[in-house]
Amino acid sequence: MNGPVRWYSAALMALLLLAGCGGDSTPAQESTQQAPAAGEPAEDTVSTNPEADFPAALAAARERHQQAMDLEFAWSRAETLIESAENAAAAGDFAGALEMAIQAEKFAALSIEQATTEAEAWQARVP
Amino acid sequence: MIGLRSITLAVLLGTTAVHAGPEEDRQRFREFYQNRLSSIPLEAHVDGAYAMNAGAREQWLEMEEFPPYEFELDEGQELFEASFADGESLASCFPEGGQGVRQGYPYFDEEAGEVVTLELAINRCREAHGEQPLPYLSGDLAKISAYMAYTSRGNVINVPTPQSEAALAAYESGKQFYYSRRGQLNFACSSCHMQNTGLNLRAEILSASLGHTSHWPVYRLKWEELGTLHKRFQECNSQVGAVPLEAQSEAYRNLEYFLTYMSNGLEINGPGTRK
Repeated sequence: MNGPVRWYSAALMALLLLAGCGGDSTPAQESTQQAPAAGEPAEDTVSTNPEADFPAALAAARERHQQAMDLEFAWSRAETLIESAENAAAAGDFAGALEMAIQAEKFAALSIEQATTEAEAWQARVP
Repeated sequence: MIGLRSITLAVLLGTTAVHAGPEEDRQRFREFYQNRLSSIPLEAHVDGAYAMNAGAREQWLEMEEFPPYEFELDEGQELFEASFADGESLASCFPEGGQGVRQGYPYFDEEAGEVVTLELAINRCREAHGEQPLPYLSGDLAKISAYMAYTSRGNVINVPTPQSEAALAAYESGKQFYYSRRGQLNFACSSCHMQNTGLNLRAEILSASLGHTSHWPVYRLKWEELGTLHKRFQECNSQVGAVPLEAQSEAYRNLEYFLTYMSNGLEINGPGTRK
């Protein structure tokens, strides 16, 4: 996933520069991520400013993972992705960090979906 | 009309197991293994996967002649008999001086409104006498628990049937946990230990849940030490990609309550050795 996101980011930046739309905002000022609808995990969108978008994505992932933790249905993959995203951001790799935070939120959303489904589905397994 | 009646009857029959009482659950649980693994006597399941494969059983029995938990068991006895700073010992907190009582745990404490496991009772005893609680996964607590299990060998598991609303709720919570799929791999406890019991998962034979709680604490060769049942719960959850819960969390204690009740009537044979 890292490759395509980077390629799209680079392509988009090149188009913006060619069109003379580079703008003058600093990287941390402008978010380019489209906000997901309430209750829905973030969609795969191309970020032209991962450093600006990362904090919100990480917060969303953490929040959804905590919801899964509260339900006692959390997945370890979401947890490790959040940790990896934090480490990547600390190392300055915001594109990678953003991608992992978005993935973490998706995994967390799936774990909540599992909890919701299993609230009824378990009964079919009782002999 | 007949069709509607049939559907209604089918729905009722289908939901009976879910809403059955604990004793009916236990009978169906036993019947499931009786049918699924008909060549294995139900009582033999206290030996786990070693009840299912003659070669593995032979090796295991040889290992049990000089069991790897032997030294930890001795240490457990010393720790059990050691005096607290106030002069009392663990024996003062348990019926029969803590000898041969493993089969009555866990039980539902009506006053406290919660399931009490043997490990929780040990730590509460220590705290009541001004001592620090011990870590729940391995180490001294597992050694003490192993000694108490050892003095209970041959005793029949006898967890009282949940009667009160609160006890039934705890039991049902444990039952729901057991049958609920968890983690990225989408596995329930029952996926391995009922749906696929007797089959191999990689090189391991999947044991039956009947008798699952009879032999703890266990010396697992991969752990290289004695560990508690809740350590194994954590490991199972981790293996399916779920974030494990805290040892002695309410959910794990309720799960132990359900699982042990299912094994009522089988003999305590802990501590044990497993791969």
